[in-house]
Amino acid sequence: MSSSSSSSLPPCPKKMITLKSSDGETFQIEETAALQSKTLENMIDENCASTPIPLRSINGKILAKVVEFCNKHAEVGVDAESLHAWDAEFVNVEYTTLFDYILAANFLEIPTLLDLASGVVGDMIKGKTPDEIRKMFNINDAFSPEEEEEVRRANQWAFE
Amino acid sequence: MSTVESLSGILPTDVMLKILACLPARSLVRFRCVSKPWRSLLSDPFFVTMWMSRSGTTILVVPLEWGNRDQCCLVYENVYIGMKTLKLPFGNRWFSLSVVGSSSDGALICLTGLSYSRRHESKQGVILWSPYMGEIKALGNDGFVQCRRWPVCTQSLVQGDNTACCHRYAVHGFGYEPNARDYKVVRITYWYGDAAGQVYTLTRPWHVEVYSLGRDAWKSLGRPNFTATVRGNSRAFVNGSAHWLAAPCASATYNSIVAFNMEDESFGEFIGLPRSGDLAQYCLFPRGKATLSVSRGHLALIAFHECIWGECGVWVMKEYGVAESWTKQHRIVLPVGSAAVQAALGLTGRGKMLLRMADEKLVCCDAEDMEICEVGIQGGGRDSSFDVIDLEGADPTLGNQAGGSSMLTIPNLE
Repeated sequence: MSSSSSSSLPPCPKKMITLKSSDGETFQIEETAALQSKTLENMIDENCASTPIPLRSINGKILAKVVEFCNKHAEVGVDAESLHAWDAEFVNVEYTTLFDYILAANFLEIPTLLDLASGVVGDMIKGKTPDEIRKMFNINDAFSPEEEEEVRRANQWAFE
Repeated sequence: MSTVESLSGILPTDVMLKILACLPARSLVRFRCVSKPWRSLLSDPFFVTMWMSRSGTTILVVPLEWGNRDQCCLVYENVYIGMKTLKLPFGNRWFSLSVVGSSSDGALICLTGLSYSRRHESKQGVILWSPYMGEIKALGNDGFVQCRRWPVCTQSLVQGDNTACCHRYAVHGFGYEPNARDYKVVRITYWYGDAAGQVYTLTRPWHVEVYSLGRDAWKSLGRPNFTATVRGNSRAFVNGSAHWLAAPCASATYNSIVAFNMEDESFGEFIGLPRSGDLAQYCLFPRGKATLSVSRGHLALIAFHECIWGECGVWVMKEYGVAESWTKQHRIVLPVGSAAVQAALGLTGRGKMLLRMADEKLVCCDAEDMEICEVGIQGGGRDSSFDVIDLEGADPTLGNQAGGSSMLTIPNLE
């Protein structure tokens, strides 16, 4: 359906879609910005976006940020450098919030946000100890102390 | 990956893979301690290959000599990604570890090593090493004997000891046969001295054997149909064949290339070198530094200038088997003040050449801007060889052919 309303036409009234968070908040987002999400794009293509779209796995706080991200990345005339700076500021948050961004970006299939947030997580964890990693990623099936000692001994150089 | 167990209680596995694939080697090795699923993933050849081919990088397999005679390591850029003590099935002390070749994804590496058995005598073993799986397989415990006195062992001649005759020189080649999904090792044996009353010189290849991992056995192919001398440190595997630089006799310069096809298990036509005019100024003596290598899937020749210090040329055979298609790709001149070159180890996909210098340091030289950087390790004795694995374009499914389990027990498909 979008092929007829191509960009060569003069700006037409902005088409908005409505997203509804898990805690019942609603957010308006321009269709052009929403198209960055493959999940939303599919819904728009299938004409399922006329009523508010319920997103049961994303709360209002995170959804607001995701909408903000999509809007920023849909703006025209933003130079790469300032967008880069904006992105850096956007992901300058606690790791728990980053995980929420990642989960939302993964669910909504927004590759730019997913790449950005997982890259930051990568930078964040590369210097961590196995213990810190277990805490961060909620990993409970650790080795027994003897087993861990054995694995550690085999890979000793990486701990020095 | 055979099984994908949960890597995190929070993030889905595909996102975790994405995050982990961007981490440096040191972090990945340390995180093997996190949990069992993390350990299996971070040791999985499929993951390691994915991780390495992400940046189209090159790894270098370095046998360490001197204080660490029985160790071998993989070096990724300048970070060790693994080190392994390789035990041969016979002898207790061994030396001259050499890399014969590696699979294109670095998942399987073939080495030879010598071990003392008696005074002046040693046994040579061929080893397959799967670094990511941490497995080792010694091929044929037949006690292939080499003499430590080169070229002729007068000691055993005087003693008339022909039973364990030691005047052999073996050249090995390693390669992958995609159709049969099999790895093979070929061994060409030369005879130096006296055997059953007959005198052979080094000019005559005496015996050829081929080992197939699928068959898990050596097969004799008898005496080859050529007389050229090839050198084990000049080999390259490309286009389904192992290649060596060849000279008409032991004292002559290299004038052609011998190719052994792993699928047919036979020698092909000799391949010509670049026109002699192009090579006129370059040294092609078998004891010199000329070697074959692979450049982006093409057979390449590296040769050093006879007169100009630190200059070497790289030729690439654009069309396989066509001598007219040799093209000089690079002319590398090392900066004044750098140490003398001892050996060229190979080329990386990004136009860099790895060299071993006279001070034993390994360096990487950029063919574009001639910049030299140290790899950060030293290694190898004079005769040991190295291997450069260019992972650019490596097929990650290759390392996973055994279903992500053992690399060394490929099912026999025949």
